[in-house]
Amino acid sequence: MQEPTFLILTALAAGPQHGYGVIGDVGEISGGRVRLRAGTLYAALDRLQAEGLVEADREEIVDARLRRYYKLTGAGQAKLATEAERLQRNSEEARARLRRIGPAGGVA
Amino acid sequence: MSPLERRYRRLLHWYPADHRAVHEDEMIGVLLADTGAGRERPDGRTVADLVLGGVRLHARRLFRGPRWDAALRAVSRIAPLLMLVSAGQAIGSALSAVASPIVPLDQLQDAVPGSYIAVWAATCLWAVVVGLAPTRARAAAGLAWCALIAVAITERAAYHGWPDAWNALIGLLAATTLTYTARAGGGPALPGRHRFLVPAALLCAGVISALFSDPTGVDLYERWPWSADHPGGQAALVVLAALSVALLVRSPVARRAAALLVIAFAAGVAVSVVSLDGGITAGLALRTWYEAMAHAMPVVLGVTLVYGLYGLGRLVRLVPPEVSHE
Repeated sequence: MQEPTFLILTALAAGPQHGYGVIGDVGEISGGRVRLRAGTLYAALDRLQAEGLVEADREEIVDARLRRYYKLTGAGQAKLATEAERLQRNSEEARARLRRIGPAGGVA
Repeated sequence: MSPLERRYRRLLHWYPADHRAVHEDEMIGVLLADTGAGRERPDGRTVADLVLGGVRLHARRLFRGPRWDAALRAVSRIAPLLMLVSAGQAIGSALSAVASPIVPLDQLQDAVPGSYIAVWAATCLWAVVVGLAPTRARAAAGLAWCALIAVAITERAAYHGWPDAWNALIGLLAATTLTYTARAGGGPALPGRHRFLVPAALLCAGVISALFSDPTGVDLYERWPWSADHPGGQAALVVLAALSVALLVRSPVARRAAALLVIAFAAGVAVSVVSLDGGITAGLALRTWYEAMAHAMPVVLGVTLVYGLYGLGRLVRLVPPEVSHE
């Protein structure tokens, strides 16, 4: 799973969000490292909806502008959980190996 | 509408119409909220991101979606039956080589081993079973890959050359589309009456192919009434091809299925041309053309016969009895 996809699913794991909310949340989750733009977001949402991982939740009008909220489906939650577990296992293994070789620069 | 919004809306024309209809206003809201105050033009990165997003969605709709799914399922039924045409031609050629008085017996055993006919006969049986009643897609896909490899090996052994490009590509198309169907889950492959007409047409094509085969397997085209010596037959061929195209373009699924088959056919032509030793001469180009026609003609004839008879049958049934007695 690519990082933007993982971050979008993570943003929606907190509850239904509209497009601009997802963009802000992704920036926050990644510590400002990932700046999602509308084109990338909506291409990803289109794919995630087609795969049944995300679905539209509700719509509302704010300042005469349409806002559509998206939420994770059951399959989306399961997919995110699996991916998070995989990443955690990998990072734990990486940390364990790094501990074994000592502090950075300690290896010839 | 602000100049910025107008520019964003213009950029959203890069998106598929169905996506725009649902998401345009929503995306405009996100884009305006995400743009710093006072700007009149979108920045370069946002423009590139929007254009790329639109292209991605078009690409996804072009190669995925229900129409491509239906087309791949249809081809997964058609391609095994197309193997019947190749099988008919291979078996017909081999049998007529056995019966031919011009081939010395000692060369014959070397040229046409029994395993060659046996493998093609097994492929023929597989094509009939898969084409007519594909209940186990996974097993059919596995057998398709086995048939592809077996045919390639036996062809190489029988003729001491590279396997026939047409057979290899049709086999590859059958194997890949059956694998797709197996992975995507079962479902109806050919809609309505085509479920019976397409197998009937291709069975017919297989028989025609076997009947008109000769020991060389290449001069087949010259026997047809629409060979280069018969301008009237060639005109009939053009009319038949135009009619087929006119019928196919009416359905988006048929257009896609036809495109897949034409790509495989064109790849067969390309491989034949590229694999010609000593470059392309007028004689070799003609031979390649004959080979292409030898594969295409039985299909055209089979489809014309079966669909023509079906159309005629419907026409006769549509005429009221009192009118037909007049």
